Amino acid sequence: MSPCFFLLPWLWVINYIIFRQHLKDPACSPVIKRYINYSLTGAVLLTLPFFVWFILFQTQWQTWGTFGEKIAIVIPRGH
Amino acid sequence: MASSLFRAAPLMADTFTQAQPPVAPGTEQSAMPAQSAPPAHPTSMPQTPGTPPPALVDPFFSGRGPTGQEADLLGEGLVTHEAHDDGAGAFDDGRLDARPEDLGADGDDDDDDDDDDDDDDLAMTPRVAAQFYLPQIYGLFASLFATFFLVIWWAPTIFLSVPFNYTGVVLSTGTNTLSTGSQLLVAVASAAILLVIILVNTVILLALFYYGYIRVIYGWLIVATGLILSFIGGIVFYRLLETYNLPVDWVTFCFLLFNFSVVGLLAVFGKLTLRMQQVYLVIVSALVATNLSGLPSWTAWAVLIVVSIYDLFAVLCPQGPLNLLINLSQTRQQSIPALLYSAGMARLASSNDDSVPILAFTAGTSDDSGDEQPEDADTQVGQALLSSGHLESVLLGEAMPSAASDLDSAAVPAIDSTTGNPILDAETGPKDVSDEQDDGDDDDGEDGDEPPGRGPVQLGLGDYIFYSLLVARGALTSDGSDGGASAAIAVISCVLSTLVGLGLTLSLLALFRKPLPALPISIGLGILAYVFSAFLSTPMVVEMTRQVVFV
Repeated sequence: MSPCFFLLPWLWVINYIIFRQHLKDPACSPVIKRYINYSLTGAVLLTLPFFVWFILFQTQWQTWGTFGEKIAIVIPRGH
Repeated sequence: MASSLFRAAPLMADTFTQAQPPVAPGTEQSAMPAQSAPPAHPTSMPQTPGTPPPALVDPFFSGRGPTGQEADLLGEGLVTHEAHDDGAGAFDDGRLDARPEDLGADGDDDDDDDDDDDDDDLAMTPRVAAQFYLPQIYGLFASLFATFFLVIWWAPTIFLSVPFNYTGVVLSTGTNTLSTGSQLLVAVASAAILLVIILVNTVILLALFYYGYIRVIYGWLIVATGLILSFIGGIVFYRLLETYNLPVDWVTFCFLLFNFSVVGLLAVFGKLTLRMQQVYLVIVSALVATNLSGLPSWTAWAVLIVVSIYDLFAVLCPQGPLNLLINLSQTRQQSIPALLYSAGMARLASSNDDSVPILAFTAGTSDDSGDEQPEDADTQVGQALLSSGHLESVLLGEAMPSAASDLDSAAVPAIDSTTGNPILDAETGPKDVSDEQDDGDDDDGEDGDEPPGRGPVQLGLGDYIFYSLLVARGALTSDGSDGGASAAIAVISCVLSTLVGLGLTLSLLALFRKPLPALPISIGLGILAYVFSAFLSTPMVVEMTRQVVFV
């Protein structure tokens, strides 16, 4: 089976999209169906913390002082 | 699409496909020299009593389900052959069912002589062109449009909008202050250096291919594409963020870039869907072209001219490296690894092969890496999942030739390569040994002509890159005083002329049926269009706008 592809939710989403049709196929092994569902679940689960962090950063980076500027790649002009 | 207008019910599909005996790939293969003329199939095909009369048999659609072909040609993603499992002829290994030339041999009495005239298996009748080529060519043009769009978006925003606030080593440092003569000198010198680099890389590639180090070539391609996606993608991403003033932190940036690059690599070299591969190939071309458009303007034009002339000679001259490479791949029936944009069905799984060799899915056993080269027999999988344009890689320091389909092992490498820009290998016909004879059509990237093999039309990424470079240079023309009008006019002229050039090249390809360089005509027309737009159209349009004159 496929390797884990750590930290690649985009890949897992694509995997799910590609294999979505096989979920309806009765001839498909249930193990594979389970993994297809896992891939979607995993992608969603991994993307949530990312979104949390992203929103956190976008709203709060200016209040973090030096640390905020250090980890920001692009500091918008005028800030 | 035009094909839908011509779609005929595959009445006799089964009858016809079973009427032909499987053209023994082995015999064809052994009997076939590189570019031998006489197509064996007409003779090898028996005149079975069950052969339907020509009027009822649609050469293209017999052996293929109506939806199946359409879907494949348009790259509808995952190809499952269950739908047209019955004699899904064209995609079976080596066995070409219902090839037009065969039809011509016993089906179409009228076109008998016409079809067998050229050594080509596939006679380019209008019906053939409309049904088979046009949808794929539309797809090719659409992808070129997408690449142009990306480049037109990125090049000006990256280079012209916001000053760079970091220093980098660039060829263009300081050329803006030089006199025209010196700029010209710098341009010529840079182009000459680039030409030497391209030559050296092509020779290295030729040597690697000659001595059989295919995996090295694949590794080279993979590393190059990975670097393009991650580094140049990162640069473009960074500059876009700067231009649009968006604060992004390192974590998010790296996370997004990592995802993008890894999935891109897998899509291009692995067995994800055709659509993903096409999208990522377009993105790769746009990235490289954007990167190159940072060269100073004279240098960029000089590079374009030099590269297209080189292309012309490399492909058409008998001693040209690309010509040698193509011949080598033809004699060996081996595909050269390269990056090719495939407009149609890239993966040709055998009709019985249910297990689509996709990474996540290969049931148990040895899951071969997404990278092609499965040694297993179930890789009928096709051709051309990836190919890199020759010159594209050269610019990155690699020369990527195009490749013919690998016919030895039933395992077709998922990567099909076509010689860089110039040449599109027609041989990608899957297992279509008998098609090899038409190989002449290694057009540059254009058509794989696999027609007999019903292979997809392919265009090397190098072509994409240089066309996009031309367009990017057009987009970067800054006249200063006219608010971007000169850039807009230049872009429109360049896009139109490039696509017209591509159309011309395709027709020449259909005419000559031998490998042709894709660059010279398009780049020549493009440069002509740019010069005209800069000196004629722009002043005219600007003046007309000023005087508020509408024509």
